[in-house]
Amino acid sequence: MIDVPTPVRAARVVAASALLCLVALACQEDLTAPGSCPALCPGGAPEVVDTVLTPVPGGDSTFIGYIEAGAGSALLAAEQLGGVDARAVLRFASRGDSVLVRDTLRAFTVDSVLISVGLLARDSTVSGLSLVLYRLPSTVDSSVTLADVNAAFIPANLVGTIPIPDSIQTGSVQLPLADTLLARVAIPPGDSGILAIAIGLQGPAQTGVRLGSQTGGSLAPAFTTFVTADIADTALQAQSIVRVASFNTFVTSTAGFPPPDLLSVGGAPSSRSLIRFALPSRIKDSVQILRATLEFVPESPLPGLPNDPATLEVRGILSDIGAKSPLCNLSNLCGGAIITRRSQAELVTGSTDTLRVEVPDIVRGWQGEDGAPEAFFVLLIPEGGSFTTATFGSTRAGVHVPRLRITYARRLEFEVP
Amino acid sequence: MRRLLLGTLLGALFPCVVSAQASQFGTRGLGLPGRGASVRAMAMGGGFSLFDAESSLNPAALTALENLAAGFTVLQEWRSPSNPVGDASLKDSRFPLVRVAGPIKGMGLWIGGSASLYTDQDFRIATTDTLMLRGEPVGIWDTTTSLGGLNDLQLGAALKLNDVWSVGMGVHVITGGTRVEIRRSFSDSSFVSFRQRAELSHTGWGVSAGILGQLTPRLAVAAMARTDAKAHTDRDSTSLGTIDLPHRFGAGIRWQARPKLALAGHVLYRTWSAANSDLLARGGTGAQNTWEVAVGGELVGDPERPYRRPIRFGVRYGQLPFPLVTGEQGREFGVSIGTGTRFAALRAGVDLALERVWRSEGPDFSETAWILTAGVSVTP
Repeated sequence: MIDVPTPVRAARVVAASALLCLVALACQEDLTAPGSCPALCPGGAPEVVDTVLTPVPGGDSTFIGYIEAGAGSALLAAEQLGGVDARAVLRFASRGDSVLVRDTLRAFTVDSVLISVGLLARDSTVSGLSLVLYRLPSTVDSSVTLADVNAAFIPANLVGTIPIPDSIQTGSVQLPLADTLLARVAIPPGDSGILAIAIGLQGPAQTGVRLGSQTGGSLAPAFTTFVTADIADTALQAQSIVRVASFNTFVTSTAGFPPPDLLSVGGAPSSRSLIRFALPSRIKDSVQILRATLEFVPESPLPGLPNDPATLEVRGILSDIGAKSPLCNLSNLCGGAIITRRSQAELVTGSTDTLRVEVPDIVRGWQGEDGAPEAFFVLLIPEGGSFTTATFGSTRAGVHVPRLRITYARRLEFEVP
Repeated sequence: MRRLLLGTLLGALFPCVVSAQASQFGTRGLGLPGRGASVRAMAMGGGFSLFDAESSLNPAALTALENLAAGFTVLQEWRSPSNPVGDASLKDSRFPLVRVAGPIKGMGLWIGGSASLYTDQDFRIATTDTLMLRGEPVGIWDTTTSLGGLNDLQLGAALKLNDVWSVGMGVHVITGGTRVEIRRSFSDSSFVSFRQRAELSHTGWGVSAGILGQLTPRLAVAAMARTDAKAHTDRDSTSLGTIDLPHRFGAGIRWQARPKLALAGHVLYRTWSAANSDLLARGGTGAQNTWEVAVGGELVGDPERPYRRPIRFGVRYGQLPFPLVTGEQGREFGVSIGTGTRFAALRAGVDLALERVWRSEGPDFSETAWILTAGVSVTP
């Protein structure tokens, strides 16, 4: 045991305190100094390179038939929109001749009918629109044509007109029918309780609307019948029967398939384009991709409904098996990279500007030994339910060929002492 | 002996926490050379380093130890670099020296181990520029960070030949490396920020020898020489060849001018230009030989008890081996003061040093710094 005198003990306390303070100070660091290159930049700076790639010749194709008319989220109705007519066709599920009240099917008498249609989009600059509804044969199916529908647009088949208030851009509009008007939706016994209608558009200008389809949720079309059931209890006499569309489609005057030498997206049945590239080995192996942009030049002004832009979406593919290549999904791995954001561009009606879609995640996924196929699938949203279609050049056409612009950083060779 | 070996082993393991001397003058070549000086020696400008058993410069100085001693140093630096881009106020900390040494009783032999900075490459540099990307000017911000440096692990032995002369030898393992990283961000968020990294590692070895002569009770001289072999360099585990490391030669004198005043000084010469061709071949700015001159003194209140809060002072001038611009040579000048005390029956001690340093290279690059150093030494 060493006897420590008081002054020494005091000195020890002071010294320990000083050391503690210094150690505390030692936890503070702020290293960043302003740099003056090249003197203070050992090894220089990463070189950033911009390069443009064109698709593999003949490796770009359009495939048709993904989403049929009516299978998408929207139905179309138009009157000479860009020279195109469109009619929506609905066939509601069968309404029986009795209604179930207290576990018993009971006969009823129809009091009134309400036909609801959801408005998804319109040209907000056009006012005074109305939907006109005509009866169609209850046997209507996917073979129906625009000529068939137009032939049914006669006063005898008129169900009614639904004015679309100018204040409504999207929402439900309804046609109530009662009293003598009920005859317009009376279902003959031979039709098995099926009501089928076609919807056209009337307006002061050439325009169109997109209507909710049977997959449209709250904006899906509905056929509601309000009835008085044959039951003594007056509180149970008032019943309603709701029927949604069991079949819907739309017919247009759009002619045929897109030109075979061009790339196209959209339409109904919808088309998609597969565009293959060959990533140079220098980019595939050892660079960092900072930005990748896929550029398209429209062959003509983009058709569509004004103020209702569609979206061009570019997806990577997990394997290249042509038209049925599985697509990469958001937040999932696509080759060597995770898709962190959608690669989309807005298709503005009438535009001929070059479309640029940022595709950095997809192209990063091409890098490395386990890279995804070096190809894009291009499609239009809403698929199978838009007035917009887009047509671009291809390697076969030789003009307006899509381009992939990649900006990347080369590996910096840090100064090695 | 067992305790000494254990201490030496612990000291050899300690380099993992040896940090670096962040400075813009450490950005090129191997960085900023370390000094291998104890806090006591640093307080005297380094002038006593060749005579100081707690410094790692001269293995013969081990013979000044009467008992086994272990010590470490902690340092805080506040720097103000200036270059053509601007000024900044920075701070950083490090542990530049760890040492265990002592005599082996009955053998007339001293051995010791130390871990000290050989060179130091901790820095972070921020730059800004504008690039033309896709036909548009895009602002970029680069931050280059280097963490690490080379450590000098020394195992030394010293022998007292007689009452006048002592000799010592040391073997050195030079090891360590730097993790370098550059981060870039763009003013246009369409371009993603990125970073690139590399890990550089070096291994080499060296030997040193020293001599210490107490010519008269008031006059002592010391000299040392050291040669370091080529260091092997790897980047991300890929060998990149070798780089020549310098020889160094030093000589010093200590004079007990008054009973209460001791003065000492040394001159050190390092042949860093051996690495010049290697560095230039790799795109660097080369290397140049360096001189260092240091003079200092220690004023004690009671010559019988020199450990009681002496006043230490010194000045130092040195050249820097790795220029920022090819053909230039940086230099530094330092003025220091310090003190210390021992307690617990002289078994423990604390030393403090404060140094003001000016560094410069050409008209464009300069730096000032306050360096506060504290050291603890313990005799088990």
